[in-house]
Amino acid sequence: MVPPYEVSVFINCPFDDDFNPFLDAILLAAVACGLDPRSPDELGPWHPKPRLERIQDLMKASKYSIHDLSRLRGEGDDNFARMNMPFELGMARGLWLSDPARDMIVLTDTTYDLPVALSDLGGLDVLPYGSDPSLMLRRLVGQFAFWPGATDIDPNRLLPLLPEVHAANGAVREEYEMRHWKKMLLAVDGIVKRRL
Amino acid sequence: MAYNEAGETAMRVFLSHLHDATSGELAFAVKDALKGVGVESVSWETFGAAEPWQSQIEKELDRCDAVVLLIEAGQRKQSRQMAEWTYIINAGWKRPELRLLPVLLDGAVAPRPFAKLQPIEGASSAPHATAARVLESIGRFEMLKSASELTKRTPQDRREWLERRALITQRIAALPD
Repeated sequence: MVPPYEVSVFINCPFDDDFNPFLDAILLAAVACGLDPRSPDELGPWHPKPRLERIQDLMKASKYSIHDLSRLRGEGDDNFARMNMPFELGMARGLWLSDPARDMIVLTDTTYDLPVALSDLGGLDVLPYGSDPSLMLRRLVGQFAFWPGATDIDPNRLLPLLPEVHAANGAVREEYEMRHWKKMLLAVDGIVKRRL
Repeated sequence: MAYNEAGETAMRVFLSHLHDATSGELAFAVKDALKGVGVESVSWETFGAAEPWQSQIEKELDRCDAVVLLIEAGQRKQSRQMAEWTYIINAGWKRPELRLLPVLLDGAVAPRPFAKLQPIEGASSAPHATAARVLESIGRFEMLKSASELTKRTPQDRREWLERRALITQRIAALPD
């Protein structure tokens, strides 16, 4: 039996409506390649453990992680920056330093902003996806091909499933008025099972 | 052979290598050998500074007939070459006819997707001998494995995938509602 650690991938991405199509691409790519997407949301919104502890626990329990750094600019009336994603990337990098068998993928929307906003990442393999969920899916599956815990799959077989996954997860988000991690994963898992 | 009688370039090769001195010397020898038979080669050194390398590599891979991958032993992860490899895999899915030639240097082991191809061996201490081997393989272009190999799955692969997915399905089902 494969230990859960070997197939677990921690998802560090924005939690907003605009990102939903991209989250769906991440979930589809991961599940189809035999990986287990993990998020602090999987324990439900009212879990008593502080969120940071949940994040730490899940990161330690996941050999892999995916970090999306597309939200680099200030947002809202107060122009706040979203610092959770870079912070969690730093946590994952710290774990990688003590265990190089771990691996991570850093995604960004455009190639131009990140070198300015986070120049410390210069020289690392950051993958841009140009605001295109299908391109993001291709990038992810391409990188998963190097992860021993993942199974190779032709992304051309996955791309037609993306609208179906988005519709199914959209229905979950509407019904629960939140991103219900378990329900979304069940939806993606069901589609992968039926269609692949 | 893959060049015409007039000596004009009829083939274009992308050369993927680590951005260090050892790989650089070997890459130079390979480029030189390819140039000698009229094969044009490109690699990250030929990229301009005005455009992000990610867009340049995509364009270059679209124009290439083959990719030579110089793979070093104990290659450090998180290097730019990992991203380069991802672009190469993506290009292979886009164009399954793209030929791929992994060159395992100094006893390197082929990374998982490239293990499905037909690698040759080389030594960083013998750049010219290694370049000659690359040239010989490129010369037998039709014999080189194409990117279509990357997506082939054996029945054993599928069995393992199904077993793994069954476990994940169980774990998801056990999550709190």
